Amino acid sequence: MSGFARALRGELYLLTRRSSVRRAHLLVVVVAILHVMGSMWVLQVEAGLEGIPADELAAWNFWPRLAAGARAAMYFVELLVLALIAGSFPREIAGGVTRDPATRRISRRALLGARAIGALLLSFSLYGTAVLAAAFPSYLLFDRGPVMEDGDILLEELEILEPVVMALVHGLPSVLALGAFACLLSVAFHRGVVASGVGLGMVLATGIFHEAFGDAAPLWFADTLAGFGPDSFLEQAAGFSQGLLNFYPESFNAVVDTGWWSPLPALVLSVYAALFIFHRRAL
Amino acid sequence: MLEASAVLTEGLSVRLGSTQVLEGVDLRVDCGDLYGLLGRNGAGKTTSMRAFLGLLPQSKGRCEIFGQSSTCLRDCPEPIAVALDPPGLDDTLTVRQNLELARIYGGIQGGRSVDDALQLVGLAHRAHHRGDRLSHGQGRRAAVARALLGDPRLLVLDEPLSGLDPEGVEVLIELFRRLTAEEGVTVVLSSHHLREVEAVCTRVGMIEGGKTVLEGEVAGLLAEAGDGLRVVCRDGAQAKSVLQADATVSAITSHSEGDLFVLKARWSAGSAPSTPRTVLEKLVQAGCGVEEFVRERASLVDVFQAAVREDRVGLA
Repeated sequence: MSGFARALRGELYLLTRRSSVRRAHLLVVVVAILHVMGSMWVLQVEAGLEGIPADELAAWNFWPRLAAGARAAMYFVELLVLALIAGSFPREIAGGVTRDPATRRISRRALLGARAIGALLLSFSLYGTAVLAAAFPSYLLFDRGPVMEDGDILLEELEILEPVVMALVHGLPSVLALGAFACLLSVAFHRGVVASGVGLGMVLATGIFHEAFGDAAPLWFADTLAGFGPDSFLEQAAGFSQGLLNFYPESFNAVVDTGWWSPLPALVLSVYAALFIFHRRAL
Repeated sequence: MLEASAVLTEGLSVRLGSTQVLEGVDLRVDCGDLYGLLGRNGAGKTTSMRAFLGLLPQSKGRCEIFGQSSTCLRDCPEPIAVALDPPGLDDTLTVRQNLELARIYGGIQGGRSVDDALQLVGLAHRAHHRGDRLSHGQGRRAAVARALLGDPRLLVLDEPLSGLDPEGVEVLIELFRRLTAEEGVTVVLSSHHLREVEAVCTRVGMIEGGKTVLEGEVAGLLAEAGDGLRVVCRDGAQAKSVLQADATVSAITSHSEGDLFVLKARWSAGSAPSTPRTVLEKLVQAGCGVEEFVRERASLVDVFQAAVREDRVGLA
């Protein structure tokens, strides 16, 4: 078996055995469920104040609750990706953990390549967990069907299904790019806290510089992150699907089209830069 | 065809930032050696090990493991295993999981199993404890157990005896002896516990100030160092002059203990014109008031101290 295959098997072993990975998934599930249940309670209070049944509110629908619940969980997914991935290598290198695989005929390139794939898998897994964890209680607590307001059909189900599903899938490339970027941070810094902190700072700063970047903004993957991204399509879809029609401007389709591929250059560059830095890193 | 050395370094130099941490480390570990890498704290033992394993970027010099450049260890013809300092256990995993992970990384199919390795170092009862729940010594043992997995041909162990209880030291020393004698495994271990190293190692290298100051067979180095004399007497100055006058006595040190003086000297047995008995007779005849006269066998401590002293004199 090649060094890369062994390193990848080791990475999969770590992902399935580490309690921190399990706890991260649990946290995402809890956040998504709490958000969906909390929004149900808020809608019931709102309906009570207006003196109408809750199911007559436009927001009382499976699709907007799924989008909003998933987006709330996405904040945590993005934070956890930064904390778990960016913080891992500095801790492992400082503790000498990487010396054992590095002396078992696994090249540094193979070791980091496997770590990068592990980072992508973890990001994907957390992302999928957020979506499923939001979908399940939304399905149990809310009705599917058209968005109704005052007894009238505001939006047909097909009109909201497409943007919500597209938005959920659209957030994936940027989260994967975040995983690769976190991998780069993990080899660039000697302390996990610093690596995660710098990553979070760069993600949050995207909102500040969003206007200045103009049309080039989506090229920075953090711009289209489902949670923190200023161009979060999920945010738009969540607003639109509960009847806030101004949340989904026609021009946003262009952003979506760009969003499919725009995080990919950052993903590839992050992995290459990480390989370059790790090659000279003292272990 | 000559068999390649297990480890060979020539002029190995490492610079970390602006600090030159190694400057000319020359080591030769032959296959089947039980090799002790000696030196004081901070002398460069761990750095040398990391450098010849390719874990640190070398600035100069040549470095080979089983004839393969250590910068390409993925092509190394023989399996190697390490237990460096810190032990490098993943604290988020149990001891057993750490060892299972190492088997995966090493692609180990047969050979020594996880249970066997833990049994050998006496850590089977801690298999399900997480890395961060182990004591310092248990962490060392777990790292050694990980290095023993499969069928390694070279073991590189950094301070494996540090922090162990006396029983643990005995267990590991016996284990290292058995590995080299019965399985032909080459073991390189660093330590500043010179007495243990002397008891177990066949060859040693000494590092001081980031460079090799001495290397050779333990038996040869001890024979070369000669035996020691320890004299306790009332007239230290007179005893010292008597000892200095004897051509077979060298490297005399003295200090006072109350009214008495304690002198220590090296006595070269090689071409000795005098015996300890004649030295004692001279001291008695000179009226030094000898209270105690002991011939002490040379130890690695003496060899090490002499090597360090010579290195300092050379620098001066």
